[in-house]
Amino acid sequence: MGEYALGLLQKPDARGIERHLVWCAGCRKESGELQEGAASLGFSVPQFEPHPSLEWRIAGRLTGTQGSRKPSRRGFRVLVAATLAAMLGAVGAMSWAIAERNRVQSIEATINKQVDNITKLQELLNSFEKGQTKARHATLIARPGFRGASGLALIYPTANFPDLYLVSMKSPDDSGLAPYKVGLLDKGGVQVAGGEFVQTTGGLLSYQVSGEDLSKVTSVEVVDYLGRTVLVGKVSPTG
Amino acid sequence: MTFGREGPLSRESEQELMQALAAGNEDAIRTLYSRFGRPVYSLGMRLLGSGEGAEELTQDVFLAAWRKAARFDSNRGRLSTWLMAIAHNIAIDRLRHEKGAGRPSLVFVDEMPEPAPTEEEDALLERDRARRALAALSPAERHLLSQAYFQGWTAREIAEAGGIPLGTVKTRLRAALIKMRAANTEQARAVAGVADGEAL
Repeated sequence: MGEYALGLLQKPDARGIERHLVWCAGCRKESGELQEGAASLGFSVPQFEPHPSLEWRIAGRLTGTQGSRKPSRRGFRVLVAATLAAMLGAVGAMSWAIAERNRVQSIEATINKQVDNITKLQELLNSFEKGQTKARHATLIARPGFRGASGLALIYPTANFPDLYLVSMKSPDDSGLAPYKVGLLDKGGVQVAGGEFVQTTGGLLSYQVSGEDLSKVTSVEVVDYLGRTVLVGKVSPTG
Repeated sequence: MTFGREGPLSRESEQELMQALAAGNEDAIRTLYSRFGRPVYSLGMRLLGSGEGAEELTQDVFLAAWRKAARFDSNRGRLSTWLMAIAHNIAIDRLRHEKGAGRPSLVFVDEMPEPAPTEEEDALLERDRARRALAALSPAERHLLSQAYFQGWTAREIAEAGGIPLGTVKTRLRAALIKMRAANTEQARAVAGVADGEAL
Protein backbone atom coordinates (compact mmCIF):
# COMPACT_ATOMS: atom_id res chain seq x y z
CA MET A 1 0.00 0.00 0.00
CA GLY A 2 2.93 2.33 0.67
CA GLU A 3 4.29 1.80 -2.84
CA TYR A 4 0.86 2.45 -4.27
CA ALA A 5 0.60 5.73 -2.35
CA LEU A 6 4.03 6.71 -3.64
CA GLY A 7 3.09 5.87 -7.24
CA LEU A 8 5.80 3.27 -7.58
CA LEU A 9 3.80 0.26 -8.70
CA GLN A 10 3.68 -0.92 -12.28
CA LYS A 11 0.30 -0.26 -13.88
CA PRO A 12 -1.06 -3.85 -13.61
CA ASP A 13 -0.22 -3.97 -9.88
CA ALA A 14 -1.68 -0.50 -9.31
CA ARG A 15 -4.89 -1.52 -11.05
CA GLY A 16 -5.10 -4.59 -8.84
CA ILE A 17 -4.90 -2.38 -5.75
CA GLU A 18 -7.52 -0.02 -7.16
CA ARG A 19 -9.91 -2.92 -7.74
CA HIS A 20 -9.39 -3.99 -4.15
CA LEU A 21 -10.01 -0.47 -2.86
CA VAL A 22 -13.41 -0.36 -4.51
CA TRP A 23 -14.85 -2.81 -2.00
CA CYS A 24 -12.49 -2.69 0.99
CA ALA A 25 -13.29 0.33 3.17
CA GLY A 26 -10.46 -0.33 5.61
CA CYS A 27 -7.81 -0.39 2.92
CA ARG A 28 -9.42 2.59 1.27
CA LYS A 29 -9.04 4.58 4.48
CA GLU A 30 -5.43 3.55 4.88
CA SER A 31 -4.66 4.29 1.26
CA GLY A 32 -6.11 7.77 1.64
CA GLU A 33 -4.00 8.43 4.71
CA LEU A 34 -0.81 7.18 3.08
CA GLN A 35 -1.49 9.29 0.01
CA GLU A 36 -1.91 12.35 2.23
CA GLY A 37 1.52 11.65 3.64
CA ALA A 38 2.95 11.33 0.14
CA ALA A 39 1.27 14.50 -1.09
CA SER A 40 2.81 16.51 1.71
CA LEU A 41 6.22 15.57 0.29
CA GLY A 42 5.16 17.23 -2.93
CA PHE A 43 4.24 20.41 -1.09
CA SER A 44 7.58 20.53 0.72
CA VAL A 45 9.64 21.46 -2.35
CA PRO A 46 10.79 25.05 -3.03
CA GLN A 47 8.15 26.93 -4.96
CA PHE A 48 8.78 28.36 -8.42
CA GLU A 49 6.55 30.73 -10.33
CA PRO A 50 5.42 29.43 -13.72
CA HIS A 51 5.26 31.77 -16.71
CA PRO A 52 2.05 33.83 -16.60
CA SER A 53 1.00 32.51 -20.01
CA LEU A 54 0.81 28.96 -18.67
CA GLU A 55 -2.60 29.65 -17.16
CA TRP A 56 -3.86 30.84 -20.55
CA ARG A 57 -2.50 27.81 -22.32
CA ILE A 58 -4.01 25.38 -19.86
CA ALA A 59 -7.40 27.08 -19.90
CA GLY A 60 -7.27 27.22 -23.68
CA ARG A 61 -6.37 23.58 -23.95
CA LEU A 62 -9.16 22.53 -21.60
CA THR A 63 -11.82 24.68 -23.18
CA GLY A 64 -10.65 23.82 -26.66
CA THR A 65 -10.15 27.40 -27.76
CA GLN A 66 -6.94 29.22 -28.45
CA GLY A 67 -6.23 32.55 -26.86
CA SER A 68 -8.62 31.76 -24.07
CA ARG A 69 -10.50 34.27 -22.05
CA LYS A 70 -9.56 36.73 -19.38
CA PRO A 71 -6.12 36.00 -18.00
CA SER A 72 -5.07 36.59 -14.43
CA ARG A 73 -4.37 40.24 -13.75
CA ARG A 74 -0.68 39.84 -13.05
CA GLY A 75 -0.15 37.60 -16.04
CA PHE A 76 -2.06 39.98 -18.22
CA ARG A 77 0.18 42.89 -17.35
CA VAL A 78 3.24 40.89 -18.31
CA LEU A 79 1.68 39.79 -21.59
CA VAL A 80 0.55 43.27 -22.53
CA ALA A 81 3.90 44.83 -21.75
CA ALA A 82 5.61 42.11 -23.79
CA THR A 83 3.19 42.63 -26.68
CA LEU A 84 3.78 46.36 -26.74
CA ALA A 85 7.52 45.97 -26.46
CA ALA A 86 7.52 43.49 -29.34
CA MET A 87 5.41 45.85 -31.36
CA LEU A 88 7.75 48.74 -30.75
CA GLY A 89 10.60 46.55 -31.87
CA ALA A 90 8.67 45.50 -34.95
CA VAL A 91 7.72 49.05 -35.95
CA GLY A 92 11.07 49.65 -37.55
CA ALA A 93 10.55 46.64 -39.81
CA MET A 94 7.01 47.53 -40.76
CA SER A 95 5.92 49.26 -43.90
CA TRP A 96 2.63 50.85 -43.13
CA ALA A 97 0.60 53.97 -43.56
CA ILE A 98 -0.91 55.93 -40.76
CA ALA A 99 -4.66 55.64 -40.83
CA GLU A 100 -5.50 59.33 -41.12
CA ARG A 101 -8.73 59.32 -43.00
CA ASN A 102 -9.23 61.87 -45.79
CA ARG A 103 -5.90 63.56 -45.18
CA VAL A 104 -3.20 63.85 -47.74
CA GLN A 105 0.21 64.05 -46.13
CA SER A 106 3.67 64.73 -47.37
CA ILE A 107 6.26 62.01 -46.98
CA GLU A 108 8.07 64.13 -44.42
CA ALA A 109 4.89 64.61 -42.41
CA THR A 110 4.20 60.86 -42.57
CA ILE A 111 7.67 60.07 -41.26
CA ASN A 112 7.34 62.66 -38.53
CA LYS A 113 3.97 61.20 -37.62
CA GLN A 114 5.51 57.74 -37.37
CA VAL A 115 8.26 59.01 -35.09
CA ASP A 116 5.72 60.92 -33.06
CA ASN A 117 3.57 57.82 -32.67
CA ILE A 118 6.51 55.65 -31.70
CA THR A 119 7.37 58.13 -28.99
CA LYS A 120 3.79 58.16 -27.78
CA LEU A 121 3.72 54.38 -27.75
CA GLN A 122 6.90 54.24 -25.71
CA GLU A 123 5.46 56.74 -23.25
CA LEU A 124 2.28 54.71 -23.03
CA LEU A 125 4.26 51.55 -22.41
CA ASN A 126 6.15 53.25 -19.64
CA SER A 127 2.99 54.58 -18.05
CA PHE A 128 1.31 51.21 -18.32
CA GLU A 129 4.18 49.46 -16.61
CA LYS A 130 3.96 51.96 -13.79
CA GLY A 131 0.25 51.26 -13.52
CA GLN A 132 -0.73 54.76 -14.53
CA THR A 133 -2.75 53.84 -17.59
CA LYS A 134 -5.82 51.71 -17.40
CA ALA A 135 -6.06 49.54 -20.49
CA ARG A 136 -9.22 47.80 -21.58
CA HIS A 137 -8.85 44.55 -23.39
CA ALA A 138 -10.67 41.93 -25.39
CA THR A 139 -9.55 38.39 -25.94
CA LEU A 140 -10.56 37.52 -29.48
CA ILE A 141 -12.09 34.11 -29.99
CA ALA A 142 -12.24 32.30 -33.32
CA ARG A 143 -15.61 31.95 -34.97
CA PRO A 144 -16.61 28.48 -36.23
CA GLY A 145 -14.72 27.58 -39.34
CA PHE A 146 -11.61 29.57 -38.47
CA ARG A 147 -9.77 27.12 -36.28
CA GLY A 148 -6.42 28.27 -35.05
CA ALA A 149 -7.19 31.97 -35.15
CA SER A 150 -6.75 34.02 -32.00
CA GLY A 151 -6.13 37.59 -31.00
CA LEU A 152 -5.81 40.20 -28.33
CA ALA A 153 -7.07 43.77 -28.45
CA LEU A 154 -5.86 46.52 -26.15
CA ILE A 155 -7.58 49.87 -25.90
CA TYR A 156 -6.16 52.90 -24.13
CA PRO A 157 -8.72 55.63 -23.75
CA THR A 158 -6.38 57.86 -21.77
CA ALA A 159 -6.61 61.41 -20.52
CA ASN A 160 -3.05 62.46 -21.25
CA PHE A 161 -2.45 60.79 -24.59
CA PRO A 162 -4.44 60.31 -27.73
CA ASP A 163 -6.62 57.23 -27.61
CA LEU A 164 -4.83 54.17 -28.86
CA TYR A 165 -5.88 50.71 -29.89
CA LEU A 166 -3.58 47.83 -30.55
CA VAL A 167 -4.74 44.50 -31.91
CA SER A 168 -2.59 41.50 -32.61
CA MET A 169 -3.87 38.33 -34.19
CA LYS A 170 -2.87 34.92 -35.39
CA SER A 171 -4.51 33.95 -38.64
CA PRO A 172 -6.57 30.76 -38.99
CA ASP A 173 -4.83 27.48 -39.78
CA ASP A 174 -6.20 26.88 -43.23
CA SER A 175 -9.10 29.21 -43.86
CA GLY A 176 -9.64 32.92 -43.93
CA LEU A 177 -8.29 35.28 -46.51
CA ALA A 178 -5.93 38.18 -45.92
CA PRO A 179 -5.90 41.08 -45.69
CA TYR A 180 -7.73 41.09 -42.37
CA LYS A 181 -9.44 44.14 -40.96
CA VAL A 182 -10.33 44.97 -37.40
CA GLY A 183 -13.31 46.98 -36.28
CA LEU A 184 -13.85 48.45 -32.84
CA LEU A 185 -17.59 48.66 -32.34
CA ASP A 186 -19.85 50.52 -29.95
CA LYS A 187 -22.83 48.86 -28.30
CA GLY A 188 -24.96 49.62 -31.32
CA GLY A 189 -22.57 47.71 -33.55
CA VAL A 190 -21.34 50.87 -35.23
CA GLN A 191 -17.63 50.95 -36.01
CA VAL A 192 -15.80 53.56 -33.97
CA ALA A 193 -12.31 52.84 -35.22
CA GLY A 194 -10.52 50.21 -37.21
CA GLY A 195 -7.96 49.36 -39.80
CA GLU A 196 -6.14 46.71 -41.69
CA PHE A 197 -3.61 44.32 -40.27
CA VAL A 198 -0.07 44.41 -41.44
CA GLN A 199 2.54 41.70 -41.20
CA THR A 200 5.26 42.43 -38.69
CA THR A 201 8.08 40.45 -37.22
CA GLY A 202 5.78 39.84 -34.29
CA GLY A 203 2.81 38.63 -36.33
CA LEU A 204 -0.25 40.37 -37.66
CA LEU A 205 -0.76 43.76 -36.09
CA SER A 206 -3.17 46.63 -36.36
CA TYR A 207 -2.96 49.82 -34.37
CA GLN A 208 -3.97 53.42 -34.44
CA VAL A 209 -2.88 56.37 -32.38
CA SER A 210 -5.28 59.30 -32.09
CA GLY A 211 -8.60 58.94 -33.75
CA GLU A 212 -11.97 58.62 -32.16
CA ASP A 213 -13.04 58.41 -28.56
CA LEU A 214 -12.46 54.75 -27.79
CA SER A 215 -14.17 54.74 -24.42
CA LYS A 216 -17.45 53.82 -26.12
CA VAL A 217 -16.01 50.69 -27.74
CA THR A 218 -17.67 47.57 -26.37
CA SER A 219 -16.62 44.86 -28.80
CA VAL A 220 -13.95 44.02 -31.36
CA GLU A 221 -14.40 42.15 -34.58
CA VAL A 222 -11.94 40.90 -37.20
CA VAL A 223 -13.10 40.13 -40.72
CA ASP A 224 -11.25 38.65 -43.64
CA TYR A 225 -11.03 39.80 -47.24
CA LEU A 226 -14.46 38.37 -47.99
CA GLY A 227 -16.03 40.14 -45.06
CA ARG A 228 -16.45 36.97 -43.04
CA THR A 229 -16.12 37.38 -39.27
CA VAL A 230 -13.02 35.53 -38.13
CA LEU A 231 -12.61 36.73 -34.55
CA VAL A 232 -14.84 38.44 -32.03
CA GLY A 233 -14.37 39.62 -28.50
CA LYS A 234 -16.13 41.68 -25.84
CA VAL A 235 -14.14 44.49 -24.30
CA SER A 236 -13.70 44.27 -20.57
CA PRO A 237 -12.02 46.66 -18.20
CA THR A 238 -8.58 45.86 -16.91
CA GLY A 239 -7.71 47.20 -13.49
CA MET B 1 -20.91 30.04 -9.99
CA THR B 2 -17.62 31.51 -8.72
CA PHE B 3 -15.05 29.88 -6.49
CA GLY B 4 -12.72 31.45 -3.97
CA ARG B 5 -9.10 31.38 -5.01
CA GLU B 6 -7.70 31.76 -1.53
CA GLY B 7 -8.37 30.30 1.87
CA PRO B 8 -9.19 26.68 2.72
CA LEU B 9 -11.86 24.83 0.78
CA SER B 10 -14.36 22.62 2.55
CA ARG B 11 -14.84 19.09 1.24
CA GLU B 12 -18.20 20.16 -0.16
CA SER B 13 -16.59 23.07 -2.00
CA GLU B 14 -13.90 20.79 -3.38
CA GLN B 15 -16.57 18.43 -4.69
CA GLU B 16 -18.49 21.32 -6.25
CA LEU B 17 -15.33 22.68 -7.80
CA MET B 18 -14.51 19.35 -9.41
CA GLN B 19 -18.07 18.91 -10.64
CA ALA B 20 -17.84 22.33 -12.25
CA LEU B 21 -14.49 21.40 -13.73
CA ALA B 22 -15.98 18.24 -15.20
CA ALA B 23 -18.65 20.42 -16.78
CA GLY B 24 -15.98 22.58 -18.37
CA ASN B 25 -16.63 25.63 -16.23
CA GLU B 26 -13.78 28.03 -16.99
CA ASP B 27 -13.89 29.70 -13.61
CA ALA B 28 -13.36 26.28 -12.05
CA ILE B 29 -10.35 25.69 -14.28
CA ARG B 30 -8.80 28.99 -13.26
CA THR B 31 -9.61 28.48 -9.60
CA LEU B 32 -7.94 25.08 -9.64
CA TYR B 33 -4.92 26.55 -11.37
CA SER B 34 -4.65 29.51 -9.02
CA ARG B 35 -4.63 27.13 -6.06
CA PHE B 36 -2.46 24.34 -7.39
CA GLY B 37 -0.66 25.55 -10.48
CA ARG B 38 2.43 26.66 -8.64
CA PRO B 39 2.82 23.60 -6.38
CA VAL B 40 2.40 21.27 -9.36
CA TYR B 41 4.86 23.29 -11.43
CA SER B 42 7.31 23.36 -8.55
CA LEU B 43 7.09 19.60 -8.14
CA GLY B 44 7.82 19.34 -11.84
CA MET B 45 10.89 21.53 -11.45
CA ARG B 46 12.11 19.33 -8.60
CA LEU B 47 11.51 16.01 -10.34
CA LEU B 48 12.18 16.87 -13.97
CA GLY B 49 14.76 19.61 -13.54
CA SER B 50 13.64 22.09 -16.18
CA GLY B 51 11.06 24.79 -16.71
CA GLU B 52 10.03 23.20 -19.98
CA GLY B 53 9.47 19.83 -18.34
CA ALA B 54 7.61 21.45 -15.47
CA GLU B 55 5.33 23.35 -17.87
CA GLU B 56 4.53 20.21 -19.84
CA LEU B 57 3.86 18.35 -16.63
CA THR B 58 1.55 21.08 -15.34
CA GLN B 59 -0.44 21.06 -18.56
CA ASP B 60 -0.74 17.28 -18.50
CA VAL B 61 -1.75 17.27 -14.84
CA PHE B 62 -4.57 19.75 -15.32
CA LEU B 63 -5.72 17.95 -18.43
CA ALA B 64 -5.77 14.67 -16.50
CA ALA B 65 -7.60 16.37 -13.62
CA TRP B 66 -10.20 17.67 -16.02
CA ARG B 67 -10.68 14.24 -17.60
CA LYS B 68 -10.94 12.50 -14.23
CA ALA B 69 -12.84 15.27 -12.44
CA ALA B 70 -16.10 13.32 -12.44
CA ARG B 71 -14.37 10.51 -10.53
CA PHE B 72 -13.09 12.74 -7.73
CA ASP B 73 -14.75 11.86 -4.41
CA SER B 74 -14.14 14.26 -1.57
CA ASN B 75 -15.10 11.52 0.91
CA ARG B 76 -12.01 9.59 -0.14
CA GLY B 77 -9.51 12.38 0.34
CA ARG B 78 -8.58 16.01 -0.19
CA LEU B 79 -8.29 17.62 -3.58
CA SER B 80 -4.69 18.61 -2.88
CA THR B 81 -3.78 14.96 -2.23
CA TRP B 82 -5.56 13.79 -5.35
CA LEU B 83 -3.96 16.36 -7.60
CA MET B 84 -0.47 15.89 -6.19
CA ALA B 85 -0.78 12.12 -6.70
CA ILE B 86 -1.65 12.69 -10.36
CA ALA B 87 1.28 15.08 -10.72
CA HIS B 88 3.73 12.74 -9.06
CA ASN B 89 2.60 9.71 -11.07
CA ILE B 90 2.88 11.51 -14.40
CA ALA B 91 6.29 12.95 -13.47
CA ILE B 92 7.71 9.58 -12.42
CA ASP B 93 6.33 7.94 -15.57
CA ARG B 94 8.03 10.63 -17.60
CA LEU B 95 11.31 10.17 -15.74
CA ARG B 96 11.21 6.43 -16.29
CA HIS B 97 10.35 6.85 -19.95
CA GLU B 98 13.16 9.34 -20.51
CA LYS B 99 15.73 7.23 -18.68
CA GLY B 100 14.59 3.99 -20.26
CA ALA B 101 13.16 1.19 -18.16
CA GLY B 102 15.88 1.64 -15.60
CA ARG B 103 15.97 3.51 -12.37
CA PRO B 104 15.43 7.27 -12.62
CA SER B 105 18.45 9.16 -11.34
CA LEU B 106 18.27 12.08 -8.98
CA VAL B 107 18.02 15.26 -10.97
CA PHE B 108 20.63 17.75 -9.85
CA VAL B 109 19.61 21.14 -11.11
CA ASP B 110 22.60 23.44 -11.45
CA GLU B 111 20.77 26.35 -12.95
CA MET B 112 17.21 26.93 -11.97
CA PRO B 113 15.24 30.12 -11.80
CA GLU B 114 15.02 31.73 -8.43
CA PRO B 115 12.22 30.41 -6.24
CA ALA B 116 9.14 32.58 -6.13
CA PRO B 117 10.05 35.64 -4.04
CA THR B 118 6.73 35.73 -2.28
CA GLU B 119 4.20 33.05 -1.65
CA GLU B 120 0.60 33.47 -0.75
CA GLU B 121 -0.11 32.75 2.87
CA ASP B 122 -1.93 29.49 2.17
CA ALA B 123 0.96 28.18 0.09
CA LEU B 124 3.45 29.23 2.78
CA LEU B 125 1.46 27.44 5.48
CA GLU B 126 1.13 24.32 3.36
CA ARG B 127 4.84 24.17 2.66
CA ASP B 128 5.75 24.98 6.23
CA ARG B 129 3.50 22.20 7.45
CA ALA B 130 5.03 19.75 5.00
CA ARG B 131 8.56 20.67 6.04
CA ARG B 132 7.76 20.32 9.71
CA ALA B 133 6.25 16.91 8.99
CA LEU B 134 9.48 15.91 7.25
CA ALA B 135 11.45 17.08 10.27
CA ALA B 136 9.44 14.64 12.39
CA LEU B 137 11.04 11.73 10.52
CA SER B 138 14.36 10.15 11.31
CA PRO B 139 17.20 10.77 8.82
CA ALA B 140 16.88 7.17 7.63
CA GLU B 141 13.15 7.58 7.03
CA ARG B 142 13.72 10.87 5.17
CA HIS B 143 16.33 9.23 2.98
CA LEU B 144 14.01 6.32 2.24
CA LEU B 145 11.14 8.60 1.26
CA SER B 146 13.45 10.75 -0.82
CA GLN B 147 14.61 7.74 -2.82
CA ALA B 148 11.04 6.60 -3.34
CA TYR B 149 9.21 9.91 -3.89
CA PHE B 150 11.80 12.12 -5.54
CA GLN B 151 13.73 9.48 -7.42
CA GLY B 152 10.95 7.01 -8.13
CA TRP B 153 12.84 4.00 -6.78
CA THR B 154 10.67 0.99 -6.13
CA ALA B 155 10.88 -0.83 -2.80
CA ARG B 156 12.84 -3.60 -4.50
CA GLU B 157 15.38 -1.13 -5.91
CA ILE B 158 15.79 0.53 -2.53
CA ALA B 159 16.23 -2.87 -0.85
CA GLU B 160 18.85 -3.95 -3.38
CA ALA B 161 20.76 -0.67 -3.17
CA GLY B 162 20.80 -0.64 0.62
CA GLY B 163 21.11 -4.33 1.26
CA ILE B 164 17.88 -4.23 3.26
CA PRO B 165 15.21 -6.93 3.18
CA LEU B 166 12.36 -6.02 0.86
CA GLY B 167 9.74 -6.50 3.55
CA THR B 168 11.64 -4.13 5.85
CA VAL B 169 11.73 -1.43 3.19
CA LYS B 170 8.00 -1.73 2.58
CA THR B 171 7.25 -1.55 6.29
CA ARG B 172 9.49 1.48 6.78
CA LEU B 173 7.99 3.31 3.80
CA ARG B 174 4.51 2.76 5.13
CA ALA B 175 5.52 3.87 8.63
CA ALA B 176 7.22 7.01 7.32
CA LEU B 177 4.15 8.02 5.31
CA ILE B 178 1.92 7.48 8.34
CA LYS B 179 4.24 9.66 10.41
CA MET B 180 4.16 12.39 7.73
CA ARG B 181 0.40 12.34 7.67
CA ALA B 182 0.07 12.31 11.45
CA ALA B 183 2.46 15.26 11.83
CA ASN B 184 0.55 17.16 9.17
CA THR B 185 -2.80 16.49 10.83
CA GLU B 186 -1.49 17.52 14.23
CA GLN B 187 -0.20 20.79 12.88
CA ALA B 188 -3.45 21.51 11.07
CA ARG B 189 -5.37 20.91 14.30
CA ALA B 190 -3.00 23.18 16.22
CA VAL B 191 -3.50 25.98 13.69
CA ALA B 192 -7.26 25.52 13.77
CA GLY B 193 -7.17 25.58 17.57
CA VAL B 194 -5.23 28.84 17.58
CA ALA B 195 -7.65 30.32 15.04
CA ASP B 196 -10.62 29.27 17.18
CA GLY B 197 -8.96 30.77 20.23
CA GLU B 198 -8.42 34.05 18.44
CA ALA B 199 -12.01 34.09 17.28
CA LEU B 200 -13.41 33.71 20.79
